[in-house]
Amino acid sequence: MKPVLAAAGGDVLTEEQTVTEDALDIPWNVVVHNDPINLMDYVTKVFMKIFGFSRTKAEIHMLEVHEKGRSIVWSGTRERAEFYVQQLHSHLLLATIAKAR
Amino acid sequence: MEIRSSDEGWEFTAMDPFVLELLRVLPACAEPEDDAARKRIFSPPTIQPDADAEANSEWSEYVEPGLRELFKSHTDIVAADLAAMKGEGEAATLRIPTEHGRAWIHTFNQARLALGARHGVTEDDTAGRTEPGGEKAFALMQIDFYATLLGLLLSRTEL
Repeated sequence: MKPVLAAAGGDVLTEEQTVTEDALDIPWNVVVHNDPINLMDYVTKVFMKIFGFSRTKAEIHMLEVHEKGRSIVWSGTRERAEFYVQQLHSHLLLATIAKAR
Repeated sequence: MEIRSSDEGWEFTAMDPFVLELLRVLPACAEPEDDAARKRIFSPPTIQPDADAEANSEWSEYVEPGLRELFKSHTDIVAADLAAMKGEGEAATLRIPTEHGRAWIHTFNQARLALGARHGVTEDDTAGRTEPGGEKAFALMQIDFYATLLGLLLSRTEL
């Protein structure tokens, strides 16, 4: 993208603009999905450990997973989202990353 | 079965042979070597409608080996505690040191998930709406038994 700017002296300047992926980065969601096996208390404790949630916040997300089938537990950069998914997988939760819409 | 807990850990005694067998097969049940269990234990990081084949492939190549190693370290600890069990039959005593709590919690959970995947366990099944009898019903009993012990350990273990 090369926007053309009129300089004060009448010259025409061309400003190179680099559009980085970060600048345009749409956040990535960490989504936890329901499964019929994982215990509710276990899921709550995993959320508290990985995201530092209070018990109340962790339970809200756990219940959303249980009742609605999924919960977005974190949003941000892709790299960090992948890290959290890896942590969730290490505790055997069904978790994925998805671009926020 | 009697379970005593202390600062040092847990001690299981007076186990009938059936309970003892359920504990002894725990590491084997947790093994993710069959396709159904492997897919559940090593689930992909993206799924439909956001499926990203390249991300999933990289995940299998770079992340899964580390997870596999971590999970094996847990089941190895459990297998060692079971192998160190003293006594035979109802005189057997299983000791789980406090510092092994996480490994046992993980292995109970991994076995439950693997059993659930192998037998196609659904919400209806875990809600008790399954016909009694058959392999699936046995697996559900096993899943519930491991859940009880997992809950016990979880109540006084930091993940």
